[in-house]
Amino acid sequence: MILLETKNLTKDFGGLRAVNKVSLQVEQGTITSLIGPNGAGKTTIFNLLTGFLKPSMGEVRFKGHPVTGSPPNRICQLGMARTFQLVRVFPMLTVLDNLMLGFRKVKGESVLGGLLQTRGVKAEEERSLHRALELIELVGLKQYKDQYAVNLGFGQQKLVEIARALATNPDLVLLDEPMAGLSGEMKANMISLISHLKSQGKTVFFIEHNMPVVMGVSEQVFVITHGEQIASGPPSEIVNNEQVIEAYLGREQ
Amino acid sequence: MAVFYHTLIMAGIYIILATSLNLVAGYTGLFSFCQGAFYAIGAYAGALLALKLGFPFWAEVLGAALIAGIGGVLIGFPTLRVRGGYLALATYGFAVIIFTILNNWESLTRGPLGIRGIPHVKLFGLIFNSLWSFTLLVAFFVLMTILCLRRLTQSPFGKVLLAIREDETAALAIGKNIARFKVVSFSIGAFFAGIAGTLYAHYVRFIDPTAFVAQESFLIYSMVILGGRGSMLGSVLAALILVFLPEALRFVGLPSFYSTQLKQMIYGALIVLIVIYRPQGIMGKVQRF
Repeated sequence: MILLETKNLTKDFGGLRAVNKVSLQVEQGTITSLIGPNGAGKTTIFNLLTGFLKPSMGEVRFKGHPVTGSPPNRICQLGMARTFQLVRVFPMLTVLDNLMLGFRKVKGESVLGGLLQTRGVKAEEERSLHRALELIELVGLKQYKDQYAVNLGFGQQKLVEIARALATNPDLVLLDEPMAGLSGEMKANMISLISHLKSQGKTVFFIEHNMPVVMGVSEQVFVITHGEQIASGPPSEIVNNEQVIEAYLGREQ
Repeated sequence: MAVFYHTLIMAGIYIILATSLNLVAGYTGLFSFCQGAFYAIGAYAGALLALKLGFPFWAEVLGAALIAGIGGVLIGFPTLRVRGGYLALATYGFAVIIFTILNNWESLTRGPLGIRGIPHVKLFGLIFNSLWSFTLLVAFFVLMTILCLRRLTQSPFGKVLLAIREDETAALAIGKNIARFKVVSFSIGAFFAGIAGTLYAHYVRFIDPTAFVAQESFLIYSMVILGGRGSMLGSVLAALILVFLPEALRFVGLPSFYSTQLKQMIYGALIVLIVIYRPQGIMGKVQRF
């Protein structure tokens, strides 16, 4: 089943066409990646998918419903969560609070719920706390749970961000360069985390420059250069694709 | 003794104004420079509800607070698109507009003549016409305000406000409807300022626009900065300091002419010193502005 699909997705910034008629499909339950040279428009595509930018043309469908132009919070509520290339945690909140904010449909987030703090609200907070601790354990940050996120290293902040995205209980997780800036050990952790998400039935769609990782974990790869889709297919096809090699390495003279 | 009670009452009113602004400015991170305008709306709404419609006190407080809260929604929506310094200017503009309306809508507010003869507070058969009894009344509302605000800020609702202050984009990305939270935050801040305004109107029993000049909003905002953004206790302390300070100057023996001049200079100097040497305020932990 196709979980996420775009048709002729296009974005113009003034006279510049950053994304040009991109049509891609992400199958449910797979790990799919989006690659391309710097400035190719990958992050712009992510912003179009998650509602942070409105497409100039084209369509985005998620779970079969059109979500083109929906606001980001709406899209997240439908089950699509994302992380950012330059990590975005809530710096002056603890790791635990960062995660607990991810949960959806929290009764205590209404004014009355917060003011009255009924038994239902309290019980819900207990449950959220429990689930947040599970997620913290999953990403291996248990000993940092009460630290302010600002005090964590870059790699750890990335894990907080992913855990927070998972707290929204998404069906599709979009990761913008999860490997960038990570040390060797952290990279291995991140790869196993991505595989774990798939085993949990989540669909992962990620942007990445680390080719061994892309080719190692993805089932489907989309290649973009200058805003245009030049190839798509399983990694084995992509590595031998002439156009892809040309885009990355240049043409042989 | 009368001076002491008077100062306590005013400190109480400013504690309500500063703590509720802290929810907006300190927790949600919205640069709101119109808390004084909501204070004014509350004072005028309360006075008019009592005088023209004969509302009993409890209904009047609630009514005035709700009217101020609606004011918060009205300023909240159009300012959703602006941030930081632009939001500060837009809200300050709102404060100026409210002052101008109060000064010129003579058929309703009597303009510069002001509204006189605001009755004493009557509640449960008691008349709050002495200074000490009014002090108790204010203390009750201060406690209620702090209680409500503490509950809110420690709830998941409060956490979302903090998240918006810390990173709006990230809050959006995890599905929070930040526009709604911002408007609600604005209107809660305005609601409590409305209560403070009604209390003030019944305390002085004569209100005119000069009590609500737009600079009033700066004073309240400086209490939030001085106390520390995101610290309710800090706002309480800062309100006490800034209200008691000029009175203390008077006790030192300075003539009131000098003490009012000196007051402004000390306010200014305090803010400059705090911003340079302790940007997180007396109690706060947030370092960034």
